[in-house]
Amino acid sequence: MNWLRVTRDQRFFYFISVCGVAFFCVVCLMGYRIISASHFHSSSDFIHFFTSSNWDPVKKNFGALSFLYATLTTSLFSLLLAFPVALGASLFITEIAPRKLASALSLCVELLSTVPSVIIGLWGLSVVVPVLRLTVQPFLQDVFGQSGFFAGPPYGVGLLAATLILAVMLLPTLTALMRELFKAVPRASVEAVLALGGTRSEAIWIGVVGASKRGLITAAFLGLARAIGETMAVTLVIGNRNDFDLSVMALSQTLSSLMASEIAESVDTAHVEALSRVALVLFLLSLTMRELSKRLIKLTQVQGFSFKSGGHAK
Amino acid sequence: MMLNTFRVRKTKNIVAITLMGVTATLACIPIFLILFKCLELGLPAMTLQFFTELPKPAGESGGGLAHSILGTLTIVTLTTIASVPVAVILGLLTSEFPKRKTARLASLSLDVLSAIPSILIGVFIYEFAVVAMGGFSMLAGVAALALIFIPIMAKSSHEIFSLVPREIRESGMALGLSRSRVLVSILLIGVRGGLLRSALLCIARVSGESAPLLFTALNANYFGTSLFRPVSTLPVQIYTFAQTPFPAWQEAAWAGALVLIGISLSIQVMVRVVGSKV
Amino acid sequence: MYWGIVNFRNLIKHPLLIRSLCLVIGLWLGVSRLYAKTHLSGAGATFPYPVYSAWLSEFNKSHPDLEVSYQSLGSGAGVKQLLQQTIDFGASDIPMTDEQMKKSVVPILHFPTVLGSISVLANIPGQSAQVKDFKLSVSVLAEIFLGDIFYWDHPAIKQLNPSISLPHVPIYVVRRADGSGTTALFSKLLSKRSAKWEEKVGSGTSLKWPVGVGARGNEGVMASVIANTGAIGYVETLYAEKAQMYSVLIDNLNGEYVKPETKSIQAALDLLNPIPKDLRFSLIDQRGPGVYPLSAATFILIPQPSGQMDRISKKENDKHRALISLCDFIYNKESQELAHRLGFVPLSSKMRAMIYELILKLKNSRDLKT
Repeated sequence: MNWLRVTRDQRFFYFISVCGVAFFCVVCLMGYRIISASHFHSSSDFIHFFTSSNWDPVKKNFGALSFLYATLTTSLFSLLLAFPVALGASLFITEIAPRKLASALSLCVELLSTVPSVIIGLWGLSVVVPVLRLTVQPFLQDVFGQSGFFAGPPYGVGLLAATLILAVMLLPTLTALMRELFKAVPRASVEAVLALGGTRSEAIWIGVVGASKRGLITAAFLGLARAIGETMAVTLVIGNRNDFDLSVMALSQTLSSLMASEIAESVDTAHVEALSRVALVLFLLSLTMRELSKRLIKLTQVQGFSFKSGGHAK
Repeated sequence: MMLNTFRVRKTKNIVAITLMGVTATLACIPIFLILFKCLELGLPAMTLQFFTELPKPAGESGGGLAHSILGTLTIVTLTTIASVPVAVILGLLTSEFPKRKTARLASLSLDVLSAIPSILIGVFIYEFAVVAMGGFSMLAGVAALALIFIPIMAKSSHEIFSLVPREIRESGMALGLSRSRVLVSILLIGVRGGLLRSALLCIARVSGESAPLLFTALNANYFGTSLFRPVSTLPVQIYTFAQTPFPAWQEAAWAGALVLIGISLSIQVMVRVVGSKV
Repeated sequence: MYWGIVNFRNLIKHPLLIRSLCLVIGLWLGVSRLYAKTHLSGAGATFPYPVYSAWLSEFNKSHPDLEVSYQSLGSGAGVKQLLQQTIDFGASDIPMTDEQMKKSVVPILHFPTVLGSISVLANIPGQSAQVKDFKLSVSVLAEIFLGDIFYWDHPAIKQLNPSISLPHVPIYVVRRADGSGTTALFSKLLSKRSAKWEEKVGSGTSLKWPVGVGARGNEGVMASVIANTGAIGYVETLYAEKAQMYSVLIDNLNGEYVKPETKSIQAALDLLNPIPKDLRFSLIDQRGPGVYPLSAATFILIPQPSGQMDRISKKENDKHRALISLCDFIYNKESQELAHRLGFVPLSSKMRAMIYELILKLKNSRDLKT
């Protein structure tokens, strides 16, 4: 390669490509490390890891079922909690509220997304958990009895607390995504329904929400991805118990909180290997969710819908 | 019958709109709860001592988080300096040369990296930087934060560049400039405001991250002046102190939380101000 | 001259920017040169954190060229980070196992620093004031932590404490979430006396707990027990004393119900026979009168520099010297008195003599170079 003959443009492109390729190498290294450190010795090992809920560092027996269960349940239920609220709020903000009120409301919700997750965890631990422990959980036990989904002493921390905190964290993400979505819907859809004699809410429901269904599903997946990867806030309120329990009030451990708790202190090889597998599962789950949502976005092709990782509205 | 359904639809309308108003209110409540709690517990602890002193040993009263505040400022500055150029370059690569192979590789790696939970990034850097270098260090912390900063900013740079109309580039080239000159001297300068805004937003995001710093920069009890030593940062220090039973430390944690929120909020304000000027 | 959007010629002409940048960088470098200190970072057990933080604060003040920092991440993390050589010294409430010692690249010396004990703390429900002499036998404790005893008014508990009225409140079990030497010691006692515990859970720094909320560090357990009525947890006695809570009385092998105090802990140390040469000992459940079964010593783990003496860099040499002065500092009179003032139990003179030999060994390994 004769450098004198290479044009300035080509030099420029080589320079920026080198950066790109270097970055790609870093990511490859990461992927390789995660995959190689978690090698499964045999297929029965693989099955055991996913079906056993026995995580025993003393007896060197590692099964990650309880963490998978906790991660999936907290994420799904927090999405179920946050989605309707976010939907209603964003519809209100974009369709019904007068301009000034709308910008004030959206500011309030956006500010929530700027709070670092460790502070939300701190708040959860000092405000939400005592409320759960002293009021909500005994109430639930009085109403539904002390067995099945409501078994166990009221600790305050646990799956319920983690779900609530995650819902609080998902609210701004979902609201921002939905607001963009609804802003992009052409006025004509709403006006058409009104012209046919629909009420205001019918116009909104059919015109706006009906037109954004795919986008809403995308937003849901993004929210799910965010919830699955959330670590700090969850670690503080989940109770840190490596066991499987169907109760809503059970103490538990998600994949990410397990990583935060045990990485610094895993000495023997089997433990480290098990944690690497957990990391792999976590990684694949997050990645799958985001990929799914991106494919859906490509299908929607809604103009002006900006997909940003983390979902902060521009 | 027709009248009845009309009334039903009218009531449904009212109910729906009220529900929407209720959910909107619900959505606004948490931020106030959090702010009030932080103010209630943090404001009394924000004395001059808090901003200038190191923490006292366990159980004693007094002391502050000066080292954590300084540590956060240092590590965030270093991360920004290291990440912004790389992120802008990657954004340029993916938006201006989208069909080239290297651009596709870069885009893929940005997507993957943005999907990784921050704790895994911390673990990865732990294995490569901490164990290899023989110690927890600020440098490892900067590396971890950079890996979080770059994907976000690269993506938003990509979008910013895409929004610039094609005509601008064409007019530059029509004047006889080479493609690289057009990109660098016209495009980049034109979108300075947007890049600044997204950099500020990333700074706000990164200053609150604690999971990647837990295993890379660890924590320290002294002012972090060296790149190769552990450094104390606000989020990690808050996480540590919040779980101790010592009242002086718990107060310091809340005051630190207030400082963090203050940093985030002031950056948000700055973004709006910059946004209106540029 | 251009590079990207930066026109260097114009930039250099810009006085304020360049000069302020140079000033900042110059200050930074100058300050770090001027205050070039040798840094030591250690991590490990949460138990001795109060005394270590007090010691290190004094040490840093009296040795301005050294900066030592200690993070209480738990004994398990302390051992792991030491094995991975990311910290300069570790701390653990239990000595390293043979398996762990084999994993280390360099030999690791164990220095017992102070004695202490583990208290069982109970936030007994329905009491207007602190209960002073609440008794729980080890077998009852095992059953509580196994989840077999669920309520405070269980007959086994009532039998041991007939004079206290216990309500029908569930027991809120608190235990450690992180890898902890405190856990290892507590579970060791439970394993020794309860076959069911040994079979179901075993002992170690990280256990598969049948019940209980996980809290981080002694500090976390303490905070949790204080905050929740009906809670029970195990912490190092010092934390209990700081919060002015009474420890539960536990039965020793002689059948006596003993509370953790200086004399019951020192009794445990005095009965230790033989003392292993590498000082990796355990004081749990010593047989003898007046012994508190959950007595323990906590160790600082110091790596001995490797054999290739002539290839040690200046930095490592400085660190090694810093570690030695740290050891000297810890075992001098004032420090041990400070520990005693803070509520820890000082070591016996016989133990101190053995430790001085170890320190000598550490010093000599360095002198091999010079």
